[in-house]
Amino acid sequence: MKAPFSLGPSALVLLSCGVALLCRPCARAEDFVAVSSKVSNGYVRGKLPDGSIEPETYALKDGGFLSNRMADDTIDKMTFASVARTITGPLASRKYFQSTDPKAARLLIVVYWGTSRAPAETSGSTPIGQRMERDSPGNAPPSAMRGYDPFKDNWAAAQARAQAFADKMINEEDAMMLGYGSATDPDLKEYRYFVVLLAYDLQALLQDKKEMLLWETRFSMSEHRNQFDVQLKPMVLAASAYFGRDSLGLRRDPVPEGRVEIGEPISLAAAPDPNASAVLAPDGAHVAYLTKGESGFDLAIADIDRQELHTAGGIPISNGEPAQLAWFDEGRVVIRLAGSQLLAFSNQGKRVDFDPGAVDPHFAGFSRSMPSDEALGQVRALAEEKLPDRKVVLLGSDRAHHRYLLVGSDRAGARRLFVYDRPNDLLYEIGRTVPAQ
Amino acid sequence: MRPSRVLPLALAFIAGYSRVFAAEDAGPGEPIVLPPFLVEEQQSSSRIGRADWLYWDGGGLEVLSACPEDETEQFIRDLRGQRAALRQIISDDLLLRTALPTTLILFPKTQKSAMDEQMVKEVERVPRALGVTGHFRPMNDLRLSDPDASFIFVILDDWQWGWDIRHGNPKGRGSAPFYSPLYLRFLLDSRAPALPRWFTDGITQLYQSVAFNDAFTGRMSSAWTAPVAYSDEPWQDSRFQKDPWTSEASAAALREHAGAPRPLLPMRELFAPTIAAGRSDMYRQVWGAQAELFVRWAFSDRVKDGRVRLQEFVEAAAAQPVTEQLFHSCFGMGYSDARDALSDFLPLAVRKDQQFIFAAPPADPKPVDLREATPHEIRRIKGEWARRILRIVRSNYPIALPLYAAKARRALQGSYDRGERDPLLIASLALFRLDIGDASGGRQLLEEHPAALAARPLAGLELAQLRMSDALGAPAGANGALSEEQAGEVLRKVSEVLGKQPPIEAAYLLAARVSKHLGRDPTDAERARLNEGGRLFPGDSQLVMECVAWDLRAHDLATARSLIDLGEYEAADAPTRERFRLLDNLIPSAAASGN
Repeated sequence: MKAPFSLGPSALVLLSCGVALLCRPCARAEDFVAVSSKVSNGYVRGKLPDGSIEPETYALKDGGFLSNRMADDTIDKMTFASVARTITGPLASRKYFQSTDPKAARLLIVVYWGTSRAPAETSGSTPIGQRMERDSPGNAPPSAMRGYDPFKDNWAAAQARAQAFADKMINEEDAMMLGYGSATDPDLKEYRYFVVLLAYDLQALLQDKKEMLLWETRFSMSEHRNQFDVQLKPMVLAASAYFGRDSLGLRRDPVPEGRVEIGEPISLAAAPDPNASAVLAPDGAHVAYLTKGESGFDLAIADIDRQELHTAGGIPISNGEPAQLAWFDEGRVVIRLAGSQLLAFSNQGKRVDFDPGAVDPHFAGFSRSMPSDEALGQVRALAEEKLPDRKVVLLGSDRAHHRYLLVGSDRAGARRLFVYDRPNDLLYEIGRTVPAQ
Repeated sequence: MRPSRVLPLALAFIAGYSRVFAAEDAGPGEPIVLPPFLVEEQQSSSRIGRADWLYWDGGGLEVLSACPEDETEQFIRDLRGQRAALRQIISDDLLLRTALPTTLILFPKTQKSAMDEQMVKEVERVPRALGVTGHFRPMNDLRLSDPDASFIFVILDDWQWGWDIRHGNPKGRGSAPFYSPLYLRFLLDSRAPALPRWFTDGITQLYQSVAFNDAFTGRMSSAWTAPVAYSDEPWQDSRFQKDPWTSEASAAALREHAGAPRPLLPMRELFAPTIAAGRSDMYRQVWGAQAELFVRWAFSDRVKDGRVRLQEFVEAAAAQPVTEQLFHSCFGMGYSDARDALSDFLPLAVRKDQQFIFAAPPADPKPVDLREATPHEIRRIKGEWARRILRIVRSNYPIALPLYAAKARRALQGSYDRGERDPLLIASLALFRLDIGDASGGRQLLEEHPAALAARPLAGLELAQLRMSDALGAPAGANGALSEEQAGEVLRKVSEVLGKQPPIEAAYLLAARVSKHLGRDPTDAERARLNEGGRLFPGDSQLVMECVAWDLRAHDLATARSLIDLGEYEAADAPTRERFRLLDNLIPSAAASGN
């Protein structure tokens, strides 16, 4: 076996460029999307004979942008068109499709988006709130106030109470708007980006002039260290699982991740599941992933069409070291070890020589091309159908977007890798690993 | 235990009638396949002094044999053992049941060629239709099923004359411990209500994987593919052979690496009533392999009481839409967990045989009371056979129909003219007349011989159809509707037909037709009968819709809804599903009008 070699400077530049290109700003792990969804007026999704959801059509309507008083370019500059573009894919994932004839659609979906107002401004945890607290006479003990005038002070107190009442109303209004049951929910102490979708029966509206709300989904995310234009898509993706469904109260779902994680080195200690680093070859024929072997780590390469597995043992990875997998082309997969060492293997799991200087300049973008929003939505919907009750993360797709690499956890906590083959509508289970303790 | 042959028996149960090799399809050099004549008196096949045909009746079977007595007896003992073995894998509740026995005609291979020559000679005398050039080939084993009973024609090797001198054993194959897989398939597919296809496919494939310990080689051998002479106690060392999965290569890959990639369908797709049009071959292949895997898993020690759970699930799935809730109630897990369990079980299934110890069928001490067949039994069975093969001739080579019909007439009418009054023979003659277009002659016989109606449900149904035609031609009720008397005549006959196994779909359709032409809504009892038909044949969307319509009118909304759900679930196409949805939309107004 040949010794691992170091990555040359030019290849390092290329690799790091690729990583940078792939890494969009991501939500942090502690972020979540709060979703509240309800159905009304007896709304039920129809089912096709095979048990899948029956598609419905919709027309979109601009409900408007609702803002607090804080300037925020990441949302202030968003237009309805850009918001609409972002939500159509996730809507399609739940088999809601935009009607070519808006008047013939089953649903009219009114879209509101914006930022929450009062809680942040009145809670004392923000500059506005703190100023208001300072300026409010009712908040200072009377004995500590100079020139105490009962009338004036009573008036001021009444004014403060009126303000407090107004704030409370706003608090409650915002809580309702964001789908929270209580205005005192700690989540609401921070500003939150939100989107609200209200789906009406369009035909009842057109024919009977009757507003019949069929379902509503309200979802939001903390503004803190997030950007609306970046996080809108993950927010909608997280919420899309509840479109047209009752969430049975407020749900706090993690922000979807995995779409862009491929280029990030994964610390095996920090992320004990080595399968998270699975990668799909650009032609969709193979999946490479790291798995724990009897002595250390193995590289596993699954040949999907032949339904074969090739392994290469003894990958020199120690716990705590980062490792990264990537397909350089359809026949070679490379493991990048700590210290920029590269190990190259054929798709048969054989160690091969590799010349870093001969790296294809397009290397960084090869197998990590992500599908369009609509395709993404469809794959997500399909994943929900194929793997019901499982949390599924999309890791990537092949170049032609015929195959998608997914990971889902089973009841025992094991993470199973899947490839969804779109032309055959088949789901292949590729491998499985139990997270290290 | 002395072995008889599996091959002839297997073939016998394989061959349901199919319209392959019909004259118009046959290219130059391709044969036109036609059934042999049986109606002519055959010479004795016995070399042990038996005079003529033997007869035996018992256990739901009726055997007419031209084979030697000892061979016939062994064949019957084998059949009884096969049935007992089958019962250990599949409950009788999941198989076709008939009030009438299944009739087997056993014929010795040594005489088959003479019979074939006779057939070909006579058929060749018939002037050929224009453009028909193929040569004639006699059929071998054949099963011909009417809705109420089956006839099976079996060619048996005369093994007693073919000893293998080297081993001192009979030539040919060992005793077959089971029915042939395709006969099992017939028993499964003919059951009403229909069993789900994933089960019939899966259990048949698993059944084909049974292997026994070969007494001679000491190795496990397939019960179906290898020439085997089994030990006397094969049941104590029996197993399902390794799961073949989607291909030998994919199974080998899983044997090498338990974590090799494997395609698996979501359970919801596996349990769907039909595979949607447009699915790829690969998808269908996975579906078939997974159907077997699921049944195999239920039979394994991975699932406590798995076979009981499986049977409960299958019986429920035959009667209602399959939902995850239903599955959970039977297996105690949801679809995703079941998919994962199958995925985890697969590497084991392809790597190891799965032991399946039969409770050894008891030695068969019961005597096989063979006796010489009476002339009327011979004529009755041969006549009915001659009637049934007309459908093959009509389809494959219609120009020879008069020849075959003449032989059938000679057998049936000849017996009748000689004074035979066996109700089954009369029923066969009446059905023959109806088959050849002599409606009045057939009807007259049925009207004159009520015992024939009682003997053959199909005859009773034919008479009911005739009476319905009469009634529709001269409706005696108000406003062009049937009178109570007219309807009653038909419905009484239908009730008699439906009083016997198996349920006949056409009888329920006739009852529905009567209700449609009657000037009143069906009574609760009549409606219950219709609903029973809807539940037994949910794939007959027209029948189910008519049931639902009557249920809605009667404000029996619960029944209507359950039938709508079932009909929609079983519907083969989108327009039919849409029609069920329209019916579903009527439920609120039906409920409102009932308040």
